[in-house]
Amino acid sequence: MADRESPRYVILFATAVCVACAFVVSVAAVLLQPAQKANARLYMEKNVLLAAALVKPSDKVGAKEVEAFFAKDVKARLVDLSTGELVPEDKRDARAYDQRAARADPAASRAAPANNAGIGRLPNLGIAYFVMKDGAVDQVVIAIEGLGMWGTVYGFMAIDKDGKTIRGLTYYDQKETPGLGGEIANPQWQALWIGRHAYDGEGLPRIAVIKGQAGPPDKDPLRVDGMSGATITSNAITRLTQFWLSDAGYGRFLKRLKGADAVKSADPLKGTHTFKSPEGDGHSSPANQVAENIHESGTLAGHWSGKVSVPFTPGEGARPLQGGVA
Amino acid sequence: MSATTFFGKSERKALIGPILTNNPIGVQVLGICSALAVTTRVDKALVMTAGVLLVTMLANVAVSLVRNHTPGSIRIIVQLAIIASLVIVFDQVLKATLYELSLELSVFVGLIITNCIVMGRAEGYAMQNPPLASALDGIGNGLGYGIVLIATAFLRELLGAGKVLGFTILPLVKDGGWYVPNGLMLLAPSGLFIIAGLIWLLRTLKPELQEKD
Repeated sequence: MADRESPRYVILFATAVCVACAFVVSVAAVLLQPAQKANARLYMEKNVLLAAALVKPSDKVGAKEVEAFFAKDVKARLVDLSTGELVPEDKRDARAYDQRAARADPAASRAAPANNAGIGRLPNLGIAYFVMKDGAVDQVVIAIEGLGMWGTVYGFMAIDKDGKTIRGLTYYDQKETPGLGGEIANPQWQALWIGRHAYDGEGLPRIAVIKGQAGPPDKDPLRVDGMSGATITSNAITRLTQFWLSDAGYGRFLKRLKGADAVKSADPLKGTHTFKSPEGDGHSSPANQVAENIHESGTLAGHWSGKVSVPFTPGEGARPLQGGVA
Repeated sequence: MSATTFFGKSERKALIGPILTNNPIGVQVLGICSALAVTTRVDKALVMTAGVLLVTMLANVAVSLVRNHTPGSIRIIVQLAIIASLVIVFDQVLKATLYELSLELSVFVGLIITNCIVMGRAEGYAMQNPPLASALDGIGNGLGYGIVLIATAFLRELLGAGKVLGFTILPLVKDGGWYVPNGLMLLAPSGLFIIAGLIWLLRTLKPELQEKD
């Protein structure tokens, strides 16, 4: 029997243990990865619904419930961040778009403008989820991310159709200190954002997490309570939120939402083209025309006015809604 | 040496002992950190119990299997490598099955690696005993830890949120019931009060556990 304390045996034994352990861990990681990815994706989309307050944190939300929402009231669209225009729906499947992968892909991203949110590269396209209510757009959920204290935090912010009022906030992937900065994942802290304003009177993204307590949303709309013991995370949240609300992020897109009232006067039915429906009936209902207009311009003009609401019915919806926001 | 039966007295002692008379939390005062953190809800406590139980059992078996080949000079790091691998696998399984719960348990699953119970049993028991007894010792200690954890979580969830495993037992005032929840129960200090109370109770009922100074 080999001498158990000889350096040669110790090194060989240690190597054997390491290889065996590495093998077990690797096999588990590889085998379980598909299920984990599916779970992570489901959780991400659940957080879209959470930000929009369509579900409550205590609700049990499985794949079926999420699909039901995405089939009916929630519509994922891609936004060209440099212009704020929507990418035509038939060009890409927005739900399959991976913003993180796009950020790392030189062909799908560019260097971010100078910022203090720790964002190095910016995807060309950003995802936005339109949340419909009674056939009209009610709020829009945008993806925000940036460097926290220990790593990148990923979240969603729901903004009212006025392009200004925050309707909800969630963080679904973060590595901040549990109990301190990790409180950004606490629904009670996230609820403090509701009703506050993303922009000040001049349209600048000024919402900030402060030290101490902020007033009620109607009196103190640009400030949110800080988290005690988490100054770095609080400041990071301020920076990344302001970055994504700025023109470098979703600012141009959100301004279009806000500007929708201004274009209300422009007659959305003025378009001369006849919308070709998949069934080929070619009739031109007002809804078709609106959809056509949006499709053509890639903007939200008309649609956001709320007056020409596109009927939103999942069953027959494909026809009038094609190309449109809904 | 007398021929041991498959489930003899020593094996029974290994399994049953840690549940009460040698409880890792109540008597050995190990694993307090996670016991405070993951006992706000019963479902968290159950998952944590499963994790510690499985890891302690499998780590004990693995350490016991290689105990006669392990060089003494690196035995601690070998145990640690085995335990860490098992915890990572458990964490991966959790992420693949109970994703949201795994997010809520956050670092505490990873911290099973440093849970004194696991390491303590590997070094203190599995290094000297055969695999079967070591497995039972691991199960026993996992259960001993789990019983305290689940009891604490039961009290905290019941008194703090009026629920057990998410089912409403005491209807809250804000939901139209009569129970005003005790918010302290959802904070870490209440975990200490309950666990300290259990330790005190155990030592009062069994005076032989008290240290003489």
